[in-house]
Amino acid sequence: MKILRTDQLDLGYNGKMVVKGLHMSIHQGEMVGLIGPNGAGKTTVLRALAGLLKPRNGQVYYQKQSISSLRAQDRARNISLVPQREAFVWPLLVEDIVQLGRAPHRGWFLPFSSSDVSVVNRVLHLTGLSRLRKRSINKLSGGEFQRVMIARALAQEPEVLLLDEPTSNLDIHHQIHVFDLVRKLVDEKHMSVVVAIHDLALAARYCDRLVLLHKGKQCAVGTPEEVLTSENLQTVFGVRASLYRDPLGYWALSVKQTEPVND
Amino acid sequence: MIIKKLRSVRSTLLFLGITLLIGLIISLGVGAVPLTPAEVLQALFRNSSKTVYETIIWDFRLARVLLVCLCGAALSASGVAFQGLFRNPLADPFVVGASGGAALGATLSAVFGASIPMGIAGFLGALAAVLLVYSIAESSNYGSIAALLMAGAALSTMLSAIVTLLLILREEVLYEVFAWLMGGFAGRSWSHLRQALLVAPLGIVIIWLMVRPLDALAAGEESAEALGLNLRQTRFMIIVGASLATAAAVAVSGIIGFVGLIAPHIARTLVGAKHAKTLPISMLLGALLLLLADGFARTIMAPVELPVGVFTALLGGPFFLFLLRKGRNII
Repeated sequence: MKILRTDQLDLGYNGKMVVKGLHMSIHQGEMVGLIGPNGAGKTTVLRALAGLLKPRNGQVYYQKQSISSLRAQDRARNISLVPQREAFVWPLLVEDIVQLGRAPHRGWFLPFSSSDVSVVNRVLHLTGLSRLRKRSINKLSGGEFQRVMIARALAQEPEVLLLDEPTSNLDIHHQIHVFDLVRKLVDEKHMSVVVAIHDLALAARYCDRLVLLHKGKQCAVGTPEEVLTSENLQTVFGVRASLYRDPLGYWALSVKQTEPVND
Repeated sequence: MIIKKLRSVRSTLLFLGITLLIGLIISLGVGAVPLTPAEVLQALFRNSSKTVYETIIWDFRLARVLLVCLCGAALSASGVAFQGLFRNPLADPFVVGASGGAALGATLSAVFGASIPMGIAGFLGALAAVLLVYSIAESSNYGSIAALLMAGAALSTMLSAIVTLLLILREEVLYEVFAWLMGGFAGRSWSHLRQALLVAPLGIVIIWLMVRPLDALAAGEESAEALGLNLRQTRFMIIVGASLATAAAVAVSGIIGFVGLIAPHIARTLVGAKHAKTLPISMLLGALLLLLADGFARTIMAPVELPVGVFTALLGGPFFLFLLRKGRNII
């Protein structure tokens, strides 16, 4: 079942057009990677999928409904976004932050109920944060911080989880940890995930399908094998590289040479 | 050490509440006729041996002292709201132009000898300035939060320039206006308290309703919007609530700086940053700080009263710097 779908989407800010003619769909229970070089429009697409950016043309549909016709609160019950580079100006506690994920269900004024508390406890457990719940957000490591943001998104109990570069400033251990967690949500809870991701090897390893963006256009869609062809890697990323199975059976990328950057 | 022990909100509330009560009783005893705490309590319960004490307390001091507490609480609530909205530890109740508007309103009232008293004119001026800043910012391309800050700063400076100009041209009102601008509670009575009680609680209640949205804003507007928060409505509510609280205080006491800036910071070091906790603690701290400052303002050079704003800065400033130095995660 298609849970999220876009229809000839044009996206931009003020005078500038960033993404043109995007036509993609996400099925329930799959993990889709948005890949592409810097400035290709990955974050812009995620913002539109989350309903935070009004399209210039076209529509984003959640199930059968246009996302712009949904109330913000209803939208946030079904779709949650973990933006990139969040910074907390005040040292809130982990549990307070995760609890905010219940706001789409409980509203902004009513006290949280015991069912909210049990959802919070469950996602804290799921993300391995139970021990850190009373910790101030400013005292966490990068990996823990990212897990808090994912936990908050999960407390929204969404159907669709959108992640913007969730591992871009994490070391390899925490990268794998975060992606294992996300993959588990897809496999076990049938959640649908769209993740913007820089690291092509990680993208190939974890995602069911990839959408390759280049200069605001979608230039390939399909399984990692179909998308990360040597040809695409050369034209889009300017590297001579190829995808192969490593001895453990995961996709990996070998880069032979970079081309000179020409804009 | 004390700060660590006070972590729990309830015990902090209790501690500050009791301290405030003691402060009130001491403060009621201070003045041209000094009264002991026992005499104050007897007079408060209309049980005094001397009826003149009852008159002093009930007709002169009590209204003023309660008004001081209300203004301290209102300014601090406003500070919490604006710091949260702007995600800026330097925001204070006057950040979106309330001080400039209030100053101009009061000055115009003095210059033209208008039938509107300075307090009311200041109140209206503050609200008008905020409204102007808000409407400019909402129609701006810069992003509303940045535009609010910029428009607030620009308008405040502009209005202050007009005030300076008016005061130079009309020297005879200079002292009167200047004294009002510095803020103070000399001669404030029940009627002022009633005035403030009409508006300030409304502002405070609105801010109170917004504590969860304020928490959500801590990670930025995008993140709050992703949680389904309506940013436009939230900004509007917070600005209305905080400006009502600020203007209510301004109307009865002039422009008192610093309380609204530091009370929220001290509160965060005591009970953490969750706004549902920070807000009540800030309000109690603000009341306490202003009570203390007012006590100094009216006793140090008695019978001459000094501007209370001088003492909020002199008392709060060092404490604030102390907290910074200790690196207690003020922000």
